[in-house]
Amino acid sequence: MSKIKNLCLSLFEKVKKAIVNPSRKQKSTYFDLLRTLLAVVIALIITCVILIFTSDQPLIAIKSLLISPFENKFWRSEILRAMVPLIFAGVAASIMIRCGQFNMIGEGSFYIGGLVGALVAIYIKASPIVAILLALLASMIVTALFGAIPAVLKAKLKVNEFVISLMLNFIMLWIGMFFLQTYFRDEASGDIATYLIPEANRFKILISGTYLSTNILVAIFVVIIAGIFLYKTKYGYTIRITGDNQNFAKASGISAVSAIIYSQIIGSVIAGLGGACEILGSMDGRFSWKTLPGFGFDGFIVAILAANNPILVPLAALFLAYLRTGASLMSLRSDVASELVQVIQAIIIIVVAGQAFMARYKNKILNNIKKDGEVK
Amino acid sequence: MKLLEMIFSEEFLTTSIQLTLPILFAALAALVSNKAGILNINIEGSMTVSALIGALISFYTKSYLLGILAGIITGILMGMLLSYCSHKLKTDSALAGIALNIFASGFVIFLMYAILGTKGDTTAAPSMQIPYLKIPFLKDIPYIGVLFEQNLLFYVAIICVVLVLLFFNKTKLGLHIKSVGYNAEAARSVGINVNKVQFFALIIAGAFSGLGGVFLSMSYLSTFNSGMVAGRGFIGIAAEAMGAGKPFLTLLFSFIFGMVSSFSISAQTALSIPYELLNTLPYLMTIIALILYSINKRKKR
Repeated sequence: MSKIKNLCLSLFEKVKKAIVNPSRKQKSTYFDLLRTLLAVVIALIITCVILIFTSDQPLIAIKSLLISPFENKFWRSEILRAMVPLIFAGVAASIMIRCGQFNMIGEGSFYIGGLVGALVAIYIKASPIVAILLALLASMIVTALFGAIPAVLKAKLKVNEFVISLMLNFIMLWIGMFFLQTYFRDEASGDIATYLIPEANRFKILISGTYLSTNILVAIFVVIIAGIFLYKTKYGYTIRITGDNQNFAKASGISAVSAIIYSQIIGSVIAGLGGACEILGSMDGRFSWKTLPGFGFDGFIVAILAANNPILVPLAALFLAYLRTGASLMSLRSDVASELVQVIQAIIIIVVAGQAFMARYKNKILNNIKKDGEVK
Repeated sequence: MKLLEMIFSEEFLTTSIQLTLPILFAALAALVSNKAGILNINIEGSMTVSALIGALISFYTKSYLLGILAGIITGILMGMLLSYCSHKLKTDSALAGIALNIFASGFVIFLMYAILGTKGDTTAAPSMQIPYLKIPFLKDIPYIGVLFEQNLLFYVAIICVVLVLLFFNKTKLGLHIKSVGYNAEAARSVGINVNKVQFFALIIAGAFSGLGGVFLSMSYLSTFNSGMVAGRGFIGIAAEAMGAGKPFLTLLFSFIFGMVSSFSISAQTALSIPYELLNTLPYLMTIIALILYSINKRKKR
């Protein structure tokens, strides 16, 4: 008991010191946080201006976009539900970007992962927990195989992973569609969809009266594992060094080639797992995606907002999920299409990733600290 | 046998040319950007927005020329936007390109919904079709005569390929672009304004993307839909990589990609291969081509 108390006290001291007397590094972190917040505010202001000019009911649109997501328990749970796939996509993208790889395979992996997960959950004869675990495992194995394609090509032949992964996404989509249409389609559904996944083999509803399911626990588990992997293991270190400076990594005997390969495979696998969790936790209980779900690109947005740190991914995903929920409310209640949210996201990324945005102020603040240090 | 007959039909050649044009315009855009040392991922997004704006303007003005012009201007604006992001805000150009692609895919639906009240396509506002030019006598030559009864943009594209070749070899700006792409520091040291040169390169690339976009929504189809570019911007980047920055080689590889796409469409009736698997062909071909290209490049070293 006292141990916990001590731990809390020391943590409190640390936080207090960080706020009252921050080091240069901490100040820099605060500054980046402030910068991100400012970028968000700028994007929201631009959005409001667009809404005032294009909508007949701008006030209703703005209110439903920004305030309505919090109005009741159901919509708040919808935010969390929208957050789950974004967490998977964000963690996947963070790990790949950390290694310097711009790989978009998350898109196709979400699709294939969802399909494979659904199929295993439908056709397997096993107890529920085993069935779900096997479904997740199967989706991870298949997406690992796909993920290996751009990874190995990049590492061994220096083929641009960005273009390859984009092309591969379309291939994964059409292969998936082929199997879905030809072998696994439930004609009675009146849709291009699989049969219903047995109730027992799906994720249970977490809070009654909402659609939030236990797949959120898997997402949180993945965040923790990814954080430990990236910051506390040799492999994670290799990834970070390779991403920072490949030549330095090579010069110090670190195998950049293998980091390039496994970072991308891990990214693909996490996205595949995300796809399976999304389908096994969805309310319609079957797989019916006919286009790429878009989570691959979303992952990039989340990762950039989270500064490519898996631990911060849930926060960024939560924010994006809030925007998305607001956007769907806005399109329900006003004359504005929910796709406006993509415009907002684009502005946020560009400003957050813009090195020049507020760079002058950053230097000023950091240099002030330097002078303070000299005085002391 | 049926397959051979299909491949050597005039119809196959016509479809191939149609499917080549958007890829070729994208490839030319990629070529100009690449020469200036910019990885321009935004071609796909520029094509998407241009396709919509071109279609809408042509519907409202009842003029295909204004539609094309609007598409080109839209492409240029997208190029300027990318330039602003990477030069003024100093956002990594790959990231800015990804962001602008996300922007484009949302913006077109937002705009379509605001103007037409639908999110699917612009059937409510069919675009004016870009006319076909038939050149007398030449069009009567067997088989290749098809080449002389093509869409207006076909001739524009061929002229563009020649112009790009001349541009990089004969004009000051072209040479400056090449020197910036080859070694930006060296170019800066002899007094070339790198940002300005890249800005112009992005404008030219934007104009090409615009042409590719309007071809899709004003000739290939008579409506716009949000998924219509379908990765052609990226296939264009691949075609340019194959062509190693040479305009006519780029044309050749764009045509090969166009033929593969055309094959995947016509084979659906001629062969009993499921259409889903045929749909993967252009993308599969792109991957294989990129692999061969990089193996070849390694051998040369």
